[in-house]
Amino acid sequence: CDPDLTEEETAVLTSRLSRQQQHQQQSSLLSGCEKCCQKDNCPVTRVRSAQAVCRQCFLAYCTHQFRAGFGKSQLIRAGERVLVGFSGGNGACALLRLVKQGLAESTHRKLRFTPVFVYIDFATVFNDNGDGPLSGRRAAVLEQFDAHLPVEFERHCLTAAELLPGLSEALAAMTDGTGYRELLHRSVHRCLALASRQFNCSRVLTGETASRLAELTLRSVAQGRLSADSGAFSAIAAGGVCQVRPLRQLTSAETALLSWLAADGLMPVCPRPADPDSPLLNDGQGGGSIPGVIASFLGGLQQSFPATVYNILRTGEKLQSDSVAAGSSSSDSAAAAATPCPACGLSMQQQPSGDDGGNVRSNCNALRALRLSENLARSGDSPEPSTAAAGLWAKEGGRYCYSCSVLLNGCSKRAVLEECLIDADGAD
Amino acid sequence: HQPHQSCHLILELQAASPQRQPQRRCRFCEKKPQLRRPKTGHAVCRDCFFWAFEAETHDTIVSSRMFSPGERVAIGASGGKDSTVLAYLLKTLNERHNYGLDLRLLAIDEGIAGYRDDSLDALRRTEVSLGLPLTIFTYRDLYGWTMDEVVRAAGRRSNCTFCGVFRRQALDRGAGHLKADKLATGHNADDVAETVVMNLLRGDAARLSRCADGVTHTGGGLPARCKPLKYAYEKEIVLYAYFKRLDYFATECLYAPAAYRGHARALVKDLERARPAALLHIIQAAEQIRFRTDARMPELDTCRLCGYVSSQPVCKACVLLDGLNSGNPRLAVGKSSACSAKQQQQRMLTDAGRNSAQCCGSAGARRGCSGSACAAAADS
Repeated sequence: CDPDLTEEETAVLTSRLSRQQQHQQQSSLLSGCEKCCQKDNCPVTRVRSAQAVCRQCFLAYCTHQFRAGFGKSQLIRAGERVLVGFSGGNGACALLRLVKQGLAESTHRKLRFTPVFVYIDFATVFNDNGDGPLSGRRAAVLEQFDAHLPVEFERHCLTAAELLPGLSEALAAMTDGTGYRELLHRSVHRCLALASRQFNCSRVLTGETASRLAELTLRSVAQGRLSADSGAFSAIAAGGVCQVRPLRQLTSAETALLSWLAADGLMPVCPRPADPDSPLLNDGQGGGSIPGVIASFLGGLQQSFPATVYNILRTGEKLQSDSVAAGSSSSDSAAAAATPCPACGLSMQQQPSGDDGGNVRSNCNALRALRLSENLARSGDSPEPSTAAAGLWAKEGGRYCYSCSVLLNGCSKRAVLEECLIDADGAD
Repeated sequence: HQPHQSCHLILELQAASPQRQPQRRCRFCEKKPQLRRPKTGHAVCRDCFFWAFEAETHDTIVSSRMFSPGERVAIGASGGKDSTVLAYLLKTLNERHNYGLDLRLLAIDEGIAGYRDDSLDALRRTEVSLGLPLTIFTYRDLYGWTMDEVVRAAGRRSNCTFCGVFRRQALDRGAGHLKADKLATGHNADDVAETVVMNLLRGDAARLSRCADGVTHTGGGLPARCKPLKYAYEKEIVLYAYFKRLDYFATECLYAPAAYRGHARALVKDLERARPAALLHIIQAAEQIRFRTDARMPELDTCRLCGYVSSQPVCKACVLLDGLNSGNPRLAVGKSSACSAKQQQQRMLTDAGRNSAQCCGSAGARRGCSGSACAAAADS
């Protein structure tokens, strides 16, 4: 087992290895790989179509899933500069490998964009001044850049503390684990968006796998929004940055297996950036955080029901995008007319109105019920909620969408957090 | 006051009560607080908790225009905490705010010995205490099978599929028999959030689009379904029933093993522990959902055999019954291919055409009959 893998990834690989070993025992009775039908090629895993495939076919499957997304979406044109976010994790290593392979001269119908690899260093955000794990990670990533990237590929290491000066203070001021992790997640993407502007890149590629996107979709639901953006192949975030997720068709287990089978020395360096000492991340106490709960839940359920992740993403494909920038370019007049939230770029969710009169749906919704419960005031023995409570939400038509409002209200230094989230020089 | 099975939940709630973090005053009055609301964390006295809970339910009913004066409302009642609280609340609010509703209790007896018979005893006591007339329909009358017999035939796996499909149709048929305008069920915020999560995990976009609606119009002349407790937390329902000393029966169904909903329930409980407002956030996400205009959704039609609303030519209840009656109960559950499912439906439609002359043709409770049961009875 590789010591640089997380516990979850190790468990996945271990279970898959044990299944592989069992399968290899049985495969001697089978006809070998069901894809290439070569008896000598021993199957190593089953892919989505439940085909047992050999190593070569699995590598080809991963490459095909990666290339197919670009082909279908036609998002990236020849010669475009594309920022590739590299975190040193599983998905990032798979992305680097596949991008490098796709751009190789010898590849048939090679990709023709110009990649700019960027690592966002969070060491100083967590007061790691050289001895801690994040500094070690930065050094390991730079070594990987030197070892695995061709000389002609641009590579940069940017410091999160310089891109978002108030981030450290904002993280320390978050009052619950959910807000803390949500801010971490958003800050990574904010940094990538700022880097794309700095290096004049039109798109940002990230190594989010199908498992990760399903997690993000569930997280978004648990925070009040269900739209196509969380799990889509591409999404336009605040500031007009187009994020592309080329590994959307591969699960985390498949990217982990890809690293192992590729055997080219490029392995994940360590898990996602986090402050290991933060009590807010200690999921064993105080109820944990929503991202932590969902990550462990989905990982467990995916083992028993392998189609879970794809079901979530397939449902997301049937939804409209909440991105105002995306809506204005499509025929979605509702999204085009919507006001974008300055923090996330998505359309402002419906605010509970006092008395809309005509539309029952806008009169009765969960947000209204929650606000009513939080703001109930009793006038003597009157059985009716006080009119003061009824008037409260008339003033709530705020600047941010509901999800961002909750995040901002969960920080004791709201102004600092606003500076981190708001894109003052947004493209739109 | 009977000792109820949900004592562990009461103890858990009391452990989280104001004694751990002392508050000197109720949020709404000068009295000493007696509990902390799971929904908001507010420390309140018992009377103010009753007031807040009832005010919120009243707001849900009024803001969604759930009922109209003069309507007859059938309350789906099982004798459990949700339906008992619902019946009590609707009666109280109906009198207090002059809704002008004619309330009836409607129960379905699935025929589960040691479970349903005990809960129906509690329901009969509720009938007396609230003064609401009670009507009970049984699976035996409607389908010719009890759940005990179904489980003996089909096994312990997927038995919730049978019961859920049969009960839904039974409630609609029962409400139609009572000539009710609306059917009120005791689904709470936890139930709705679990349903949203479950439909998302299973990729069921069609159900996801309507599962968070407070009022669902089924169509086909059937009464609309309402969920007055849609935004009420399960823990608060338990608290309300406990402090009001309502008489209910709280035991898990004997045949509710590792149903898929259990996974969604575990997630929702953990999310609620992490952030109590997460339940309403999940419901909010489902209420605000917008589907693409080109997304394919099944269209609702009616079953060609029994006339119940269905997206298929033959409704699921008829298909399940056909499997039971033909001695192949696993036919319509589990991973059957779409091809074999269509073949089964075609065969049923063909048989129904042949058997229609032999059908007893009785209306009312036997409307669920697909004809094959009557044919089997005629043959015997």
